[in-house]
Amino acid sequence: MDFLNNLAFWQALWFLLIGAALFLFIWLDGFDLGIGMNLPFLKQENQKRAILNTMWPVWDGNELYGLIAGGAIFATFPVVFAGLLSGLYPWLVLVLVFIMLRPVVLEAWNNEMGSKALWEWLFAGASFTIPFVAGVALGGTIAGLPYNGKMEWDSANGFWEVLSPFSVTLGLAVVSVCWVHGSTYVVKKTTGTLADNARANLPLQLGAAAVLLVLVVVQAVLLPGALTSFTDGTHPLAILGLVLALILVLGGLATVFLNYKKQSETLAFVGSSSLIAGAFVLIGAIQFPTMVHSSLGNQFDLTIFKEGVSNPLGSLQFIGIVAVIALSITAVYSILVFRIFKGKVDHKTNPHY
Amino acid sequence: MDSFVLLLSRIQFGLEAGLHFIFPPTTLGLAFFILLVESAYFFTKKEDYKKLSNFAIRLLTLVFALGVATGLPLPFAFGMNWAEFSKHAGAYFGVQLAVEATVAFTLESVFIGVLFFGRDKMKPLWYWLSAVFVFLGSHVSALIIIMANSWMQTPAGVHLDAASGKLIVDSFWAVNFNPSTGIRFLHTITGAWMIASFLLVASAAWYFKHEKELPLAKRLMTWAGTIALITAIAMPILGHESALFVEQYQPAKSAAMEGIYQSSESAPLYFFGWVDEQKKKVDGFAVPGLLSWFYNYGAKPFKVAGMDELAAGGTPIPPINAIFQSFRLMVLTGTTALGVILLGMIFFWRDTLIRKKKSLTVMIWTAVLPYVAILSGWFTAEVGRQPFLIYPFDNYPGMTVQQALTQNQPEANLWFSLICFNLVYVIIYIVFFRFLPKLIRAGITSHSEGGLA
Repeated sequence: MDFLNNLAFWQALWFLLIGAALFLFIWLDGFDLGIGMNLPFLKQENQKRAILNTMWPVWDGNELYGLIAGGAIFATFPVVFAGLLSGLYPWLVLVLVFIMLRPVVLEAWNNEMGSKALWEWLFAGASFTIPFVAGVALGGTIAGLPYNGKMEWDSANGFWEVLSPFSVTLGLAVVSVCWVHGSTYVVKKTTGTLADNARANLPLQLGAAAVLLVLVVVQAVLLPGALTSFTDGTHPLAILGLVLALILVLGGLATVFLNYKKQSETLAFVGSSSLIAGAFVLIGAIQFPTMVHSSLGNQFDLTIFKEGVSNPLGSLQFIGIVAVIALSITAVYSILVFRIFKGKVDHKTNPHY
Repeated sequence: MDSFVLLLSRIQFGLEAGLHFIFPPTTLGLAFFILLVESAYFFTKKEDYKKLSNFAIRLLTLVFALGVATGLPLPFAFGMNWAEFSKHAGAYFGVQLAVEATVAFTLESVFIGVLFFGRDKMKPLWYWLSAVFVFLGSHVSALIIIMANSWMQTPAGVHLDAASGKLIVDSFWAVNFNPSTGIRFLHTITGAWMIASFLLVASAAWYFKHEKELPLAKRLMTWAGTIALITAIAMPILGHESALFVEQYQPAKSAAMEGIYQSSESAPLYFFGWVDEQKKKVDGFAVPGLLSWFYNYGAKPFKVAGMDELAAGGTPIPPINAIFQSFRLMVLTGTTALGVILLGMIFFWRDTLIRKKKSLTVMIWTAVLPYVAILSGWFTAEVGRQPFLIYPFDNYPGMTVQQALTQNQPEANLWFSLICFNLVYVIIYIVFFRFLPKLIRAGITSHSEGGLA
């Protein structure tokens, strides 16, 4: 059990766990963000209520993984947490404002307060902005952010610094993937015209996602120094990750495409889940062991093994053990809860709301 | 310019925390009430309890959702506005917030969804267990956060690494069970139960006044009123114990709270007054010697350290009049609430309350008082540790608010976040003040009959 006292082991494990938390966030919250984007385009009140009923019992639990991912970065790599959040300040304000608004907007919509159309557009705007900014920020960490030798954000202009063709494409790609994922979830959870509409939209959504993902990969390859982890031969894991990512992404796209018209709707949802998982494996393979690339020079990259980037061993062990135990229990009861609410829903499902 | 950014950052964090802090205590108290009536329903199968529980669950979902929404910026604010604090104390503080999110908050939020949507979908035993999980999740969550907050008051169990100047945790046990955790947890949780029970008492009083839902409203008054009375009596006792700890570990805060400039073995207790910080004196009504007596019940002369002596010894003094007044506001609102509930329950048990419309109106509005009390208590505790963010303790030198601030944050960013967040808070509070009364007025049973609330 020597590895439990090895700092590098915990740093690498936490890199994976943070990736896993971000994946869970986009995978679970992704479908309700995708649903939210479609809300104002539905014609009938009953349809709107029905698609909200598909997410109502679970969406706040889903959103939690975003909080857990943030907490995990704070707990393990506080330098990255402090630098990213203070540097991306205005972007973060935007995301937080929309995450804060979502439940409030739903309460207002449900209680017939004011203009329902306004709440629907606000909800859709929030559901678009959250994954878009998340993708842009992630793109920034890959393309490079202004970190200096003191591991500090070295620019007064956090708002524009993160924007690049690459990060914007990645933002749009995340949005499109959530869009697909929302539709496969609606296909899985509803019947009748609502499910048929979602089916009709899927080819367009899949096409958009595929094109954007290709654009992301092409740009990623062109980034300076992007391929070093594959070409220097020291990272066979990176190549393994790349292969796995391609299988998951292509398999996911194909699974959705082959199954979305059929009655076995669960497979389409599995396909979009695989798509998201593949995208995360891909990003992990490109990034490891770097959390944030520096635009001021490779020597300033925040890599997880660099002195002073991570918390000391004792803290990583403590939160590691607590999190593994707690999240295993969480996984069990979350699955049980999803089973309670399994099956098809319509606009009459949650009458007392 | 940096001092202006500091001021804006402090205003922002204060607003975020203060506007958030009325929701979690309500959640805690409602979770406690739901556990009680849901247990009563589980063991007696009386429909009344189920109806009371459904009513409280509907209130809980609103309060919890708004609590999550208002609380969301807080953990991120440590990175956004207090980046130096995050880097310095991440080895404990970041870990603690992550523990809270993974251990407690997940449990609470998942099972609140189950309570609200799942009654007809599961066996009674599992549903009752869900109520237990919501209670445990919310209270463990509160414990973990109060541990972190208490550690900033009495930061035990850590030292500074000589080479890097970073904080190293010696023992997570010592950190989390630092000297002030226990009493501050009891004081806060009891306050939370008091808040929610006064809210439920106000609901029952509203039904009495409008002669709605009467049999159920009486049952609600019996349960909520009893909790309100017990907690309102317990609060001053726990508050007193808490004050003893403050006197021991943060004498400057304690002296400012009580307006004591000169050290004395017969320090006076001011009932009300105004601190003149220029002339270093307090104008007001005081009983000589009472404060010293209170600290040890007259067993032996107790010397209360005054601010003059503390300042001469190098201890920074927090803003005096602000916490002198907020402390008195807390005591005043808390004891007024106690008086109201005591009289109200006497009337209720004598069966005369329902005819006293004016008393009922008073009982409805009294629900506001515990909120004022908990906010002013929080204000006293946090302003009282200024200028420190983490108070000095043993060998650990502490960290000032100034040192904790993000370096080189543009002022424009602060204005942007202040405007955006406060706009959202306005919307949230409009929703809260419109829907909470609406949910209550709709009646207890409306939440069991399937109608839209």
